[in-house]
Amino acid sequence: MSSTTNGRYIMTYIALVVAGLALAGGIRYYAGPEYLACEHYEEGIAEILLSGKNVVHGPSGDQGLVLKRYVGKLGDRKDVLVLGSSRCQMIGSDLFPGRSFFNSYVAGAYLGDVLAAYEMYENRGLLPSVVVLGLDPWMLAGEADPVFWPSLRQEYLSMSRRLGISPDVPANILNKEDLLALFSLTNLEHDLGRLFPILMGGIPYYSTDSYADDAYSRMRDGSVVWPLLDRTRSAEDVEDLVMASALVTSLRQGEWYGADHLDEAATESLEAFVDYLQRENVQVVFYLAPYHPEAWDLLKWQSVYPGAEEYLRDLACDKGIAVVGSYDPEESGATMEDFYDEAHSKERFAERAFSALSLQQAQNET
Amino acid sequence: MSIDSYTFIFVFLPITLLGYYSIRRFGYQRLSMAWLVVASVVFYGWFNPVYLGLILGSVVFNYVLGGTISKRAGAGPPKAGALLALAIAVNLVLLGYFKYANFFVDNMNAILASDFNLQRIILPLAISFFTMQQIAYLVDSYRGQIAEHDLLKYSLLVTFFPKLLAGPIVRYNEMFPQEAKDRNTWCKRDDIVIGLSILFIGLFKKVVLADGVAPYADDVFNLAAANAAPPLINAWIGALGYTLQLYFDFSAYSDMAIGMGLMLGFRMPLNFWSPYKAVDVTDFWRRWHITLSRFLRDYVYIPLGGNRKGSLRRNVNLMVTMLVAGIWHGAGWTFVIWGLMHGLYLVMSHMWRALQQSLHWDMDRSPRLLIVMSVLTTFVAVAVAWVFFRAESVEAAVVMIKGMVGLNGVVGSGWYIDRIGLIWICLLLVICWFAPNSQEFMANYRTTFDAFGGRPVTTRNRWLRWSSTPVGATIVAGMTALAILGMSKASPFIYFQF
Repeated sequence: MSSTTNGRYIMTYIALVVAGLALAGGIRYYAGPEYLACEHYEEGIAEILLSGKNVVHGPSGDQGLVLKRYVGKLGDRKDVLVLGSSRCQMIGSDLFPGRSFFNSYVAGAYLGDVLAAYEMYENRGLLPSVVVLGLDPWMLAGEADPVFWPSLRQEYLSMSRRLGISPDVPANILNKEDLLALFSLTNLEHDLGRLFPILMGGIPYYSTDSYADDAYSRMRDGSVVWPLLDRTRSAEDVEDLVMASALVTSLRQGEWYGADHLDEAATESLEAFVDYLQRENVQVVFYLAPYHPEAWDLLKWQSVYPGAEEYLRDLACDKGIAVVGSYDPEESGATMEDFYDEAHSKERFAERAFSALSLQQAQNET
Repeated sequence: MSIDSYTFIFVFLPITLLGYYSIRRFGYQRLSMAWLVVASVVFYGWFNPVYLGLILGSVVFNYVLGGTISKRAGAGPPKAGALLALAIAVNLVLLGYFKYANFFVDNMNAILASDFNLQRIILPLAISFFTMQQIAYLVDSYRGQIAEHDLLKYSLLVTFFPKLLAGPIVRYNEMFPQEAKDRNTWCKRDDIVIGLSILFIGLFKKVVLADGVAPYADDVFNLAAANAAPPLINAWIGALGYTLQLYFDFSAYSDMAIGMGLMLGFRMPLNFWSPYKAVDVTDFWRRWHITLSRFLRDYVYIPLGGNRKGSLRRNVNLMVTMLVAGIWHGAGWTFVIWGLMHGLYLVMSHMWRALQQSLHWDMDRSPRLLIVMSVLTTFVAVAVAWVFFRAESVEAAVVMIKGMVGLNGVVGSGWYIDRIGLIWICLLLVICWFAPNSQEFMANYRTTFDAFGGRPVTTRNRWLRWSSTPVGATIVAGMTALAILGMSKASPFIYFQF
């Protein structure tokens, strides 16, 4: 009987499929943000920050790893630390004159990332006097993942042990999610964007005493300066951007992918963390970054958003913690001109918001 | 366990194949069929075990009735006819209860301003398909077209997992001669290797192409459902995005069914043949969901009188047949409108063909430009009808249509034109219109049979035809690897909801 296929064809087919999958996995491992194979990029950024210079770099990269390398080599303690997501990235040292400062935000942070970031300082004995906790609603929402950056998983586990809470991440490196992440088309698309610059000598980044107009600049104090295009965009254009954003689009469609209730495990973790900080005589400040008015008009109907703020204000009241800002732009005094996009406010807003805190501290101290 | 999940592809399918061929290796033909029935029942039960009783009960009921109808058919039509009517009625009542009860009560409440409350009935997966399959069996029994009634074979015909969820709708006499013919060969390597290739080509179409363009369609349709009026460009991105998503989604499922069937030694009927290359809507329905078209023709249109009673009656029959097609797809006014639109299209298509004949105008010899224009016109008409098929409500569909004719402006504030979406749409249109379909690509090997009979599976582009060369292996392996990578974020097949 004649056959259309032959053994050679089958072996070639299988070999090529395996090779294709191995290539995708290899690219992920080599260029993916949470793998150590391209650590030199994150290490380089951390080195520049440690040298007291600003760094201009692309948007991709493992921010957890940058922070890890930064704190790992940090010589002196910082008096004021900011911990949170990119929504607090605009808080700079000029808001805390006369005090050493580092904004230790990591983009997309969950509560576990915040705990992990503090653990790094704690582990090295570099305890601050003040911690500004940039708390976002999703950090407290039901079924929220505890850690956004896998590179911070071990630190989160350590801090969990310190606080006596049950960590909610697998301790082993080779878990199902990580393995699936190696073989994902979505990840491959992302990693290819990083691969070519790496192959051409590394993802470009450079130190500067100023900041760039065509890229994001991480300042020596850890805060971020956005590209010129974003800095100069009119309020009307920002509004258009907000209306087209994925968040607003899905909300306008009546879809909500987030949780609809606060997560008890997350609130317990936060309370344990706040207690821990206060026991260490660290002054805690809650920062609630506002949302763009158009986004908030839709978000405020998701009960978890106003619910999270109400919970945080109650907690702050109980523990004697100052609260700066509000998710509600009107409540926080933010205007249309104060935003880069639907979720990120500008430095000018932070300056106004924290100026009130300075006065309060001054009054408390006297 | 969807057929594009890791569990299905890497666990269920290999175990099923291994068990099937192990049993066949020792010559237990019927036991191997029983194994497939068990595997299919497990597959169906994985989604919702509650409805296993429904499908198995339905199989036994129709098998018994089919056999009885066959026996009585010789004794005279009145008796057998009454039994056939009863059997079909029971099937339709069951389908009606699960699929249309909520729709009926909602509309009755709206008309009578009443407040009847029916608990939300969960639609059993694939009920439309297995009901249709079984009605065909009953009618074929009545017509004396079923040579043998065998419960095992019949169970396999209905539950066979490759085609259980979304077709093709296979006839008893199409499926089982194959098994008898292959009795002396326990395993054909070509069937397995080529079936696997077609399976992964289908999976590639689903997880890379259909799922890739889906978000651009979903964004616009969801906003329209929320009463946001899409401007011209966005409305067309949404409509074309869905038109292409549905194309690759259904094409993918059809390929996967053919591939899996082939791996198990069964050739499935051709169910999808480049429908967007159709020159009119009649041609479209000979290319889209071919086995459904055949079912509607043989069991609805022809029994209604077909074209035998004059052109007016033919037009009415066409409208009724397509109305049935619409209602079969879903319980909602959007599906009713979609069906009626296609009925109207078919009437217009017949009138157009009649005009061509009266003018002695041979379409095959027409200038290429005219054929291109016919294809484009058909495509746009079908795309407009898909808007009703996809929309959440008639109001949302009207909002979309208004956008598509420019009543909401060309561009709009708050509406962002995604260039990647435009690139996706252009790329997929090129594939639809210029690339060979899976059967043309695999034309060196017989993978299917034509449900309408006689259509040759050929392609003019010999260089775009698969062969067992390193190039053939590379193309199929590339699609396989991308399909496996894309499985990490796959979404359900659209036709599963029917």
